[in-house]
Amino acid sequence: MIEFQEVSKNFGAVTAVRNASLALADGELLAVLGPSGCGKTTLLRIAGGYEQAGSGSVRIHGRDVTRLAPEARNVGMVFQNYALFPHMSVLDNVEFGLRMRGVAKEERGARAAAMLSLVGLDGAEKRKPAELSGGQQQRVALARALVIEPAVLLLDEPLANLDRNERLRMRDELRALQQRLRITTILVTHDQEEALAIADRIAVMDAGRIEQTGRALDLCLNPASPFVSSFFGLRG
Amino acid sequence: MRKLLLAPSALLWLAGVLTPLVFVLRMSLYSRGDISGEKRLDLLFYQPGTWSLESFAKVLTEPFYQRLFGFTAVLAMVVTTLTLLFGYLLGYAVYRASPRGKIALILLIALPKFTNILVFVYGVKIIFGPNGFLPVVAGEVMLLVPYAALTIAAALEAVPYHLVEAARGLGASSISAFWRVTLPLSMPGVSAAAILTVLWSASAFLGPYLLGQPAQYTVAVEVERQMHQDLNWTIAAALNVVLIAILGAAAYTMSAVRRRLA
Repeated sequence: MIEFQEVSKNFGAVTAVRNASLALADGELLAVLGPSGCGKTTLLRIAGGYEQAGSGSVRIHGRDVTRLAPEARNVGMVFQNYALFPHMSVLDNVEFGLRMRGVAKEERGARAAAMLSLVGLDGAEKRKPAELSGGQQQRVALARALVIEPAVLLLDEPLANLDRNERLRMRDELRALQQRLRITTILVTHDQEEALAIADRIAVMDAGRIEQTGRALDLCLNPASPFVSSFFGLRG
Repeated sequence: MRKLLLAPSALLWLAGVLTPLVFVLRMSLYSRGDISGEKRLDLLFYQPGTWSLESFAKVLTEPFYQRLFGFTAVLAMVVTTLTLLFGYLLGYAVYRASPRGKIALILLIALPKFTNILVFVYGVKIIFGPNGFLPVVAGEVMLLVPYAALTIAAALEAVPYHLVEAARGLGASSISAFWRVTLPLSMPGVSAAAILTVLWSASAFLGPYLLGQPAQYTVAVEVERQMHQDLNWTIAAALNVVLIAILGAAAYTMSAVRRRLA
């Protein structure tokens, strides 16, 4: 599980995240939903160690990781643009995290191949990322993040760069995979339909603040603020 | 239409590069000028109308010239190594700087190019003391580092920082993220800078001439000496032709390696 306690982050005079507190149970998928610029990606980057929280703390399985570098956290991140290493084959991309952990060559290859097969990319091992479609690149990024068996999976707008058909298919696959591996996941999105379809709970963010966290139904029936109700398109 | 657009540069190349090269090649194939006895101006520099390989024979076989080419190659390699090292450090500093810092750094890197090259070389002389190998290397490196730094910075700018973050998130330390991601992806810039630096440092003239002892004279300096002091134009031309051939082969090989790496 991962827990944010009153996390704040300023960039100069701009407050990106304001007193955000969140706790995810093991195996839960939480969607952080909000318009662009609301601070949701910053919150995710704080969880991954790519930004330092100005105040507050982040705990993973009870361990305070607030000041730890990304490589010391065991968190898997899928970047919005996938951030695949363009000079490496698909297999080398997926093996990268295992290589960094000193896993022996045979085991590395076997685990990477198994993960590629799990995301539906058998046979693509030798190809370069540039030869793959957006959806395939997404799967490689996912396999690369999952093969290190991270404590938490972070997804930054994972479906934003896919066309509609691919997006719907990937959304269902993502959810199925997440439930199968029972991996604690934070998914950042601006798309309420996506959040509703995939998440156990949703945290609605606006202007750096988490307005409300709860199940989709609760957010619809008992919105804590006009913003939450407007975001879910319900009136009155 | 596209061919028409190429015409100006083709014309310039024809007039400014190919024609002089043909003249140099022809000059290298005359018999040496007559410097004995009664000196006649029309025979002093070379003997018109003759065909001879004597200059090439000299340039390719005499130990003096072999040492000259050897030293030029050593200098080019030392200068290129140091230039790439410092160029990479500066280019990396530009890459990691804030947008405003980038502009300031680029200006600083280009600043030496705003000074007259002679003033610059005499500045090196003041800093690095009496003429010798060290001032020659320092001078050439300082002349070439701006080009290498800016070429490498441009290549690094094409490496999204997300990739480094992704490597870190997968467990790579900042150093190993650099070795496995940033460096390999910036190699096109490094190899372009290497080609540029090798070609320029192998034809170095001002640095060795003004900062060196005769032991540090390069092929280019010797060409000047043969032209203006010994009035031996055929040797000067032959030296030039051999240098161009070697550098052409080097540039071709490096480009081929570069393409294979890409």
